[in-house]
Amino acid sequence: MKFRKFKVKIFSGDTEYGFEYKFSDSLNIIRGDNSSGKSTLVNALIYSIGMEEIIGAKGPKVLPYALKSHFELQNKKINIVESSTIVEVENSKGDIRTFKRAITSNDKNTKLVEVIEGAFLTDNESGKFSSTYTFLHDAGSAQDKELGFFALLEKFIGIELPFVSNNNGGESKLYLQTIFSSIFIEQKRGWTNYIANTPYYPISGLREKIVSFLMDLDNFRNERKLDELKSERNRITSIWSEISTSIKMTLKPLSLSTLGLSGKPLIDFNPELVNVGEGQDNEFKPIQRILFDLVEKIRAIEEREKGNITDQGPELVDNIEKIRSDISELMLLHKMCGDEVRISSSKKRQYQQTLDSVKADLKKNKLTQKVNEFGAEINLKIARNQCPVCLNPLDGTLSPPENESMPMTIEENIRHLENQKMMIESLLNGLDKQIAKEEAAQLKISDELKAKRIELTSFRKEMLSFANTNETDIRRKVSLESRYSSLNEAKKEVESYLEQLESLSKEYQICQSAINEMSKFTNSFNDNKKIELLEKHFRELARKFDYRSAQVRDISIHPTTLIPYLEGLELREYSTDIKSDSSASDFVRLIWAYLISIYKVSYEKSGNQPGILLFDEPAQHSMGLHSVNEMLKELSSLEGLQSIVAASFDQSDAAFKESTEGVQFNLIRLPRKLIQQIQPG
Amino acid sequence: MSILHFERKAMPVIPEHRPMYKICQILLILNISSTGGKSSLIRLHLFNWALKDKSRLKMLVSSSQSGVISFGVWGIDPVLNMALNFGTAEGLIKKINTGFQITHTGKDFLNKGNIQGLFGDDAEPLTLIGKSITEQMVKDVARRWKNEV
Repeated sequence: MKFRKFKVKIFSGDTEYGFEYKFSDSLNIIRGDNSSGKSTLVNALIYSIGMEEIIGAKGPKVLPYALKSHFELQNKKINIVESSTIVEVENSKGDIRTFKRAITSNDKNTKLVEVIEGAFLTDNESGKFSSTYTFLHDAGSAQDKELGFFALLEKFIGIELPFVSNNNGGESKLYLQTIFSSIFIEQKRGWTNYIANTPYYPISGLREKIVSFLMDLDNFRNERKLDELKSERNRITSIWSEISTSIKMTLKPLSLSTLGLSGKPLIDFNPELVNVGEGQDNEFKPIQRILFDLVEKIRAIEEREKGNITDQGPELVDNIEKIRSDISELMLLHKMCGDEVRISSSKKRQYQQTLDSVKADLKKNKLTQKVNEFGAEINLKIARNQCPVCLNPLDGTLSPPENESMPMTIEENIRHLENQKMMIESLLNGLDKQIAKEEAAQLKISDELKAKRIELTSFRKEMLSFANTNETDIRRKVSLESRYSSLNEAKKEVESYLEQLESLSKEYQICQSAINEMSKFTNSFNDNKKIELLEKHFRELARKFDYRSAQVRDISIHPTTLIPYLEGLELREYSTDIKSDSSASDFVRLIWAYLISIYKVSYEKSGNQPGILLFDEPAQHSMGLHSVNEMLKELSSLEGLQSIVAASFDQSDAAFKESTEGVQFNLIRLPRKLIQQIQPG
Repeated sequence: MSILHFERKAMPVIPEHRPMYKICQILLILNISSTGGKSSLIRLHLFNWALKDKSRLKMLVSSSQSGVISFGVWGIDPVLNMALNFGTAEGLIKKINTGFQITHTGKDFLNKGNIQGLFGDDAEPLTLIGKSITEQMVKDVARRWKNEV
């Protein structure tokens, strides 16, 4: 992708202000003095293709007020009514599109980008172009192929962003913004890390993913699989720690603890190596031992009780046992009888209710019969079941005529009810007898029970007179027994947890070995060649840019993180000499070398770097002019790369001259004020 | 070849569905509990519905004492309408603008047949209620139906 032309249009009243610049296909140097609007130009350019998240936020708030509300020109304050960015870009196939986006507008949303097919700016904004509106930032702008700007831009650049697994366990597309964060380096945050100004997305290892994608490494597919496995491993780890916490929670109230239980998954977990017990370290007493001791103690107390009895009255004990069993048998019988009585009584109540309602009905029927007789006497036709109007016979009810059932006459009805009454009455008689019988049986059983109980009490008294069972023993026994049962329960619970852990351990083993397997072969042969190439270019460039903090030949590119490492550590600001303050600017040299090397690898091995680099104020931390010169030389010599470098060159012509010595470039010299009047109204 | 014969058996009928029984109840309501022997149809339905159940009758008695009907709604029984038709055809009741009124013949019938004595179970609570369940009280409840819907 290449920028061809960029324009910012500002309207105030009927006067048009703004600026417009043309870019060449290779190195472009934007030279502007401090506060001339260099960053305004760079940020507006980034904003024009929707990448302002790299600068720090979504929407026009990343832009200075001079593009939004007002600016000063010739000591006059000018208020902005409407402003917008227009950028003309060309892709590797030579297709040209123009993107127009509003900054301040009354009627256009800043999340809309107008896509114009063709070189709208080069043709002086005249002529016929077809255009569509696409949207930014809202959900779908990266996915919607018709209306999403990022989806359109992705297609236009000719890359296809891969899906990567995110931290929420799902999958999301690698965002276009993340790719551009390795291409557009803005001055505030951009020079603090290799790829610093990536907007936040919940994707882990984003930096490796970006670099892998730019160099088109084979491991990308594997990476995804690896991510899946890693999230599976996380899942197992969290279940494991949940279970182990549950075990501890179960044991804590019983003042028990565990030995050999790991809070993290183990590959060769053996539940038998986990010990539950009391105490710590050397005085640890396993639960089996505790339970055994408890049983022993309980038995000792029982023996003492029994010993006292059996010594002195064996037949007494037998008698008590026998009476006890008799009593429990009788109690069972008593209960059965009681149930029968209750059932019969409830039946009786039901029959009684039915009988009452039958009686009431009978009374009412007889009443009706009398009224009918009287009505017939005084010639009421209805009383003789005749229609008083048409004299047709009626069926003797008030139900609607369409009712098809054949109703009884009153006489029949009375007979019917009387029969029912008789039947229920005889049923009730039978029930009464049955209840009486059952109650008698129950009474007999309860008498017997009473007798047996008295017998038992007397035997007990007899026994107590010579048995020394004391209350303390009983109390102790009860507490020992309850301790025993709760320990036993906890033991069972822990055992089931341990079973779960065992199966989890197997899952973990499978997952872990798959991860190991994958890590071994993450990089294919081609990948390793690319990484070697990256390393080679990186070392070369670092040396060229006067990197001094460490021996360049000791720096290597880590095969998985793809970041420069020195002696096993990520190479950041590294200083052998504390007194020298060159380390900060040295790190910036590494960033140049790194980003340019990625482009070189991508170019040589046809990767996905879109062929553009934008450095805003790369000469940070009083960088030596020689380094800048080398960097610019490098950029201008690279084929297929459009580079844009914005810098102030210490506001000195000499510095500019020295920096650009022997460099081919297109100069964009900014005036003292960036925003100028374009056309009078 | 065997032949199946079906014989229809008569069904028992609840006494409240006998024409003369219901007509007698209506005459008693009109005579004992309605001013001038007149009542609106909706008020007749209220009494008819209350007479079907002892607990409802009790509530109606207490409503007559408090002056506010304590039922939110009551049932409308088509059987009552049939009985009203028959009663009207027999000249025991007559249809008037506001509802129904007991006729002379109706009153005669009540007196001569000692209906009040025969229907003691119904007549006693009706006497207790007297004429204190007014049309206005019934209307107040009925208006609520309208407004609340």
